[in-house]
Amino acid sequence: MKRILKLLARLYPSTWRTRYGAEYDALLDDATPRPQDAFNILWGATKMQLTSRSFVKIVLPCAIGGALIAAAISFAIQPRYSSQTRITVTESAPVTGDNLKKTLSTLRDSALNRDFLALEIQRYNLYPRERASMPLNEVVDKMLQNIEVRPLQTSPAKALPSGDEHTSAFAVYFIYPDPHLAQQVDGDLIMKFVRVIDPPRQASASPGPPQTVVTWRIENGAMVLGSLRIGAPSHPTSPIFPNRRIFALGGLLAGLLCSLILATFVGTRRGTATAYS
Amino acid sequence: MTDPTILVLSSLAGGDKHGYAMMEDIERFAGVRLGPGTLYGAITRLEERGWIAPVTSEDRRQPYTITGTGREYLHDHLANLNKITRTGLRRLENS
Repeated sequence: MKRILKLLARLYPSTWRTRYGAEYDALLDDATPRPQDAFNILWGATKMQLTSRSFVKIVLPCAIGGALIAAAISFAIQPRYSSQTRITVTESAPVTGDNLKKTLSTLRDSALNRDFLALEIQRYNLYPRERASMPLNEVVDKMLQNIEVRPLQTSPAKALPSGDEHTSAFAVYFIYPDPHLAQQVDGDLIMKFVRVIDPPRQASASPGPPQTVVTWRIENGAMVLGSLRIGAPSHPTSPIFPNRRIFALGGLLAGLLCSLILATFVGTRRGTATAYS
Repeated sequence: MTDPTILVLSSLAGGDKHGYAMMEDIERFAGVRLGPGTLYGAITRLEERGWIAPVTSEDRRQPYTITGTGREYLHDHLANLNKITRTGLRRLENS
């Protein structure tokens, strides 16, 4: 443990170590080491590096360079947009979270059959690169990975809108590099869900402004009566991945870390020499 | 009150000490164990401000002493703190 602490102590600026290094090592030899001392020394070294003028000369280019490289990488990565359609279900009996999840899983399996997805892929010319290199069946698998059906939290006020009615909600997401196609396909997926829920009324269902489409409720994992509202598929404006701000911040932090190491091993005594002598 | 600079000055007010002795002394009188990074951060700042100074020593354990300005600063700070403490306690008793 003492060896690790002494290694960490080398992260202090070289000028600081010239002045205090020997006595600091003596302190580390005398004191009983504790695990938290490692963080304490690392934090102390970082603060000391930040006050050193030569460090600023190293840290600025490294941090800016790191942020720029990370931002460039984020632009090179193909973005992914997520369109979401919210479906609100009003029922006469409360639905437990497990019951809704089970029902959604059954619904997803029934609605998202492979033939339907293969048709969607061909209709919108989805995944052109993948289709050029792999069979359609595998492209369908990829598309399935980009479709999510998740229950949503409803606020307590909406949970009991009137009398003995209960509200639950779920959303269907489609993730794709093109935001327009993501929205269009998400709308189609919703229509497929509605067709599975209530085939006779499918003609009245169309994605657009929220509207009451069919009546049903969940009973023993099956949909029976109630009312269902479908929201319009959202048009994603910013990608869910890569998040360019987080990329740039990550690059900045990586640059800072690099500059800390660089300042420790390459750091010159010039500039800070007067500060500690 | 866990300001490391005040703890180091208070420790040195009782006599010259090296880093490890300060660490032990502070733990004894304040119940606070300063980490090596925190202790030497405080020592560096105090020396830069001229409130403590190294004492000549052959040992690699470098002892420090509190200077006149350091003693003055510590006295003012503790007197102010004492005033606040007494006021707070008096108000608590009266409420």
